[in-house]
This record gives sequence, structure tokens and C-alpha cells, in this order.
Amino acid sequence: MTDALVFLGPALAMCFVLAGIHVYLGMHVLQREVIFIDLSLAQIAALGATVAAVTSAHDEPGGLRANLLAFAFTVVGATIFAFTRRARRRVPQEAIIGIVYAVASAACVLVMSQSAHETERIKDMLVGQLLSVTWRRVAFTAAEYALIGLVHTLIARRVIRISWAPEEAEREMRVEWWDLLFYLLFGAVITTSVQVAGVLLVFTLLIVPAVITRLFSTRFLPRLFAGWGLGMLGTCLGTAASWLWDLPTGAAVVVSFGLLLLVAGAARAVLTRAG
Amino acid sequence: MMLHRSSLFVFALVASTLCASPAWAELRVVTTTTDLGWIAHVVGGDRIHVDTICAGNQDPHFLQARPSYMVTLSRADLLVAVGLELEVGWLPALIQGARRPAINPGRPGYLEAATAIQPIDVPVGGVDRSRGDIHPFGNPHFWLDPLNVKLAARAIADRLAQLDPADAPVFRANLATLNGRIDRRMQRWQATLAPYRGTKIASYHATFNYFARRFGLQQVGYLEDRPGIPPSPGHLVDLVRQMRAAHARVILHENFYDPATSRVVAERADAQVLLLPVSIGGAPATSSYERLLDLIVGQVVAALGPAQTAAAHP
Repeated sequence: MTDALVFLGPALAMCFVLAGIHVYLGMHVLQREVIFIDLSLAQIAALGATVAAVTSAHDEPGGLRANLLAFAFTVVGATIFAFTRRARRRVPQEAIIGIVYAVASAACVLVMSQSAHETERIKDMLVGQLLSVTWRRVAFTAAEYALIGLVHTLIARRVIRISWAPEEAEREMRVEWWDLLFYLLFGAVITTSVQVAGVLLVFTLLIVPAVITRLFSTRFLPRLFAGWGLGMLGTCLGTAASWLWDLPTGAAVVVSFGLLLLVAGAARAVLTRAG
Repeated sequence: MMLHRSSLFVFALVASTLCASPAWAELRVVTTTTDLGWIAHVVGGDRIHVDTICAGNQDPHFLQARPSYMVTLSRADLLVAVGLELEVGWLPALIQGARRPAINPGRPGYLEAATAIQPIDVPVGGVDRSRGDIHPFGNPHFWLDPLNVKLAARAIADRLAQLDPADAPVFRANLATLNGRIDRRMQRWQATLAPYRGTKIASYHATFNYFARRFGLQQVGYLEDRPGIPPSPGHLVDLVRQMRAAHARVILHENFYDPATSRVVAERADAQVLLLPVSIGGAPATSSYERLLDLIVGQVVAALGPAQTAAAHP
């Protein structure tokens, strides 16, 4: 048991930290129906990190230069998403998100094909390495997210209005600029979290708690608190399964969230029938 | 199938970690690949306990970390890796996660076996991609040359003796046994392949270069020189042309890679694809190094056909 805590403690703590901000952002993403935006932004960030790794042989994937370049690419992506929102009436935003994802992924392969070596190290960037997370990294990430969370608290009223009442919001304020800020913060969060936990786990933490809570309520704060609870529950279940059956940790957590959703869906069906 | 096999393997790994409590002072050795595991096992004998991270049918360039790998590493006295950046994609993270200073690079508890051999395919004056030089320090797939195995075994024996001086004579004796085993078989392998000296072959990745060099086969080219990056159409067209010009009749294909592209190239070049294990445990009946090389040599000879045919294309 102590062994489990020594090896999986940082991973578990990191999941809690990630759940904290991703559950909140996920509720927005679900409401705006831009479900795959994190995959798209993560792929753009990965493209930036790949460019960093290919142009400098001695760069660490998690190093400062790689992170800066990853974030610079994310800024471009955030700008695209913020300023294409009015095109929604002609083209669904999911289409643009999908296109950006596909093009960024393919561009990654092209960039890697120009690198003579070390592709092993960057290829699996989107898988994440949750198991080797250190307490130091947990602390840094927690600090970064606390800062971003603070900004979000300040702008929450407007951003929530844009997500839940987009048409009114478009009349009341310059939504593009608030969207740009939202997607920039989102990109910063994703750039960090994907490198730690991988795209699959980040997507799951973002969407699954938001979906489960929406089955039972439409009220914002109760959903947020329930989402945090679910985030911790799914993480604990997955981490425990990873330890007991010696499974890759990130994948085990993702599947646990899937099972949680199944249980919640069944509960919802029973409640509907009973009520 | 592969998942099942590897989960069995991991079960064995965990079970052995849990059961073998260190009641006596045996060295705990962890190797990245099964081939190194075999060497360590033969050299260390009953004085050491060996665990292996990567299964014989897994691509050692990529590995998904599991909790047990770190637990095993956290108790290791010696970690033996191939080196030359073969495991660069996953081993540093595992070492970091294991929280065991004794096996960090630079410490006596960390050994890269490739430091004992003379690397080939070292890029000269920048990296030459046309020859498939993806590793800046040379080709890491040294273990299919039996003489390199002897060199690696000596390095492992030396390191074991340094960590456990009392048992040094045992390690030296075991090393001599291993060298004898390899020398005896080496004569047979060389005799079997001698008629094929100069025969042209192609391969999927650069895993067979040391093997080809030792036994006098000539590499025409590779399908994929960077692991995980699909080859470009132009590269494949060139390869087909080169294979036809050189009368290369086989593509040696590591059995953990998807053979689809190799099959297409083979069809165009009028050659055949030979799916081969490249590590111990990578196929049934490859439980020792001799058996692995027996299998590879046997299959290569069978695919190349009678030696006279090969001699027809000098």
C-alpha cells in the first residue's frame, strides 16, 4: 500500500490538479458544442513542440523553449477559433476544429520526417507520461492552474454568459475578444496537461464529468462541485486499477471514467422511469 | 494475442518480484531487453536475480510505462540498457519515476551495453539519412552479431564483479561458459551462411545491419529509417529500383512491425518478405540466444534458396 502511494501518489495528485480546472472548462466546451477543441489545440501545441525538438537536437520535450514554441502555436490556434465563431451560421465550428486537428497532425508527421533522429522521443508526446510525474511538477502545475483559475474567476460572469446565452452575449459585448482570451487560457492549460497526461486523459477529464452532471442537473455551481467529486472518484478508481492489475495508468483512468458514465446513464434511466 | 502474451509476462515479472524476497544478498539486475536479460542470466547465474522490461515481441523504441516497471526498477541494483539512444523514448522517464539514485546514468548501477561494442552506421559529418542513420551515435541494434554479444557479456560480467566483488570468480567462469557456447555455434552459423556471402538483402528497419555485416550479407536499403515515420513514396520507388538492380530477393522484416508496406515493396521488386523475431522470446522456440540465431539463420537460408541460385547472381 505504501508502495502504491510512493509510486502513484504524484500521478494521483496530478490528476486532482488537472480535474480542478478541466471540469470547469469542460462545462463550457460541452455547452458551446466545441467538444474536440482540446484535441485540436493539443495537436497544435504538439506541432510547436515538435518544431522545437527538430530545430534543436538538445532540446528537452518538457523544456522552456519547447513549451514557449508550443504556446506560440496555440496562440495561432486560439485566434483561429475565436474569430471563426461568426462563421458558425455557414460552417459548423466542429468542422473547423476537425480540419485544424487533421492538418496539425499531418504537419507534425511532415516536420518529424525532416528530423534525422530522436523521433521516438516526440512521437509519443500526446500519450503523456503520468507515471513519471514528480511532486515538483505537481506543485508547478498546481501553481500555474491556480493563476489561470484566478483569471477565470474574474472573467467568469462574461464567459459563462457567452457560453450559455451566445446570442444575447453577441449583442452585449465584443465576444471575439473574450473568446480569444478564453481560448488562450484554454490553450495554456492544455499545453501543460497534455504533456503530462496525454490527449485521451485530458479529453476525458474535460468532457466526462461535464456530461455526467448534465444528466442530472442544469444548475451551474452544483454541476461544478459534483464534477470535481466525479473527477476525483474516476481518477482514484483508475489509479487503483492500474496498480492492482499493472495497467498503463492514463488508459486505466480513461476507462474508469467510461464506466462511471455507464453507471450514471443507467441511474438516469432508472430515475426517469421511476419519476 | 500480443496483449495477452505481455500481460502474462508482466504477471511473471510481478510474481517474481514479490516472491523472491532478498533473504540472501543476491544482486537485482533489470535489463531493458530480453537479449540483455539472457546475457545477464547466463553470466550472473544463481548470484543474481534478473527482470526484463521489454518483451521479445515488443518494439524497444516505444514502450508504454506500467506501475510494475517502476517498482521493479526501484529495487534494482543494476540496470542494463542497450544504449545508443535506443530506449531514449521511455527509459529516462522510468528511471525518474523509479526514484532509485543507484541506477541513474553515470552511477555504477547503470550500464549501457553498447558502450562495449564498436558501433556501426555512425553518421560522419552530419547525419546521412539516405543510409538510414537515425541514431546520432550509431546503430543500437548490435545484439544480432554474436561477437557483440560476447563483448556485451564481458561488460556485464565486469560490472557485476564491481558491484559484488566476492562473486567475481563465478561471473568470470560463467562468462567463459557463455563465450564457449557462442563460439561453438558461431562456427555452424558461419558455415551455413558462408555460401551466401555477398548476397543482397533489404530490411524494414536497420535492426539486421550488424547481423548482415558479420555474416557477409549486403544491405541494399531499408523501408523505414525512422521508427514510426512512414516512408515516402519516392523512397519506396528508389528502394524497389535498387532491389531489382541488385537482385535482392528478401526483405527481412522485424515481426513487431506491420508487414503491409514490406509486402507491397516485395511484390514490386519480385522479392519475398521474411518475418523474423529480433529478440529472445520474440517468437516461439526462441528461449535462448542460440535458438534465436538458429531460427534467423535457418529462415534466411530457406528464403534465399539453394546456395547455387545465390551464386548465379554474384
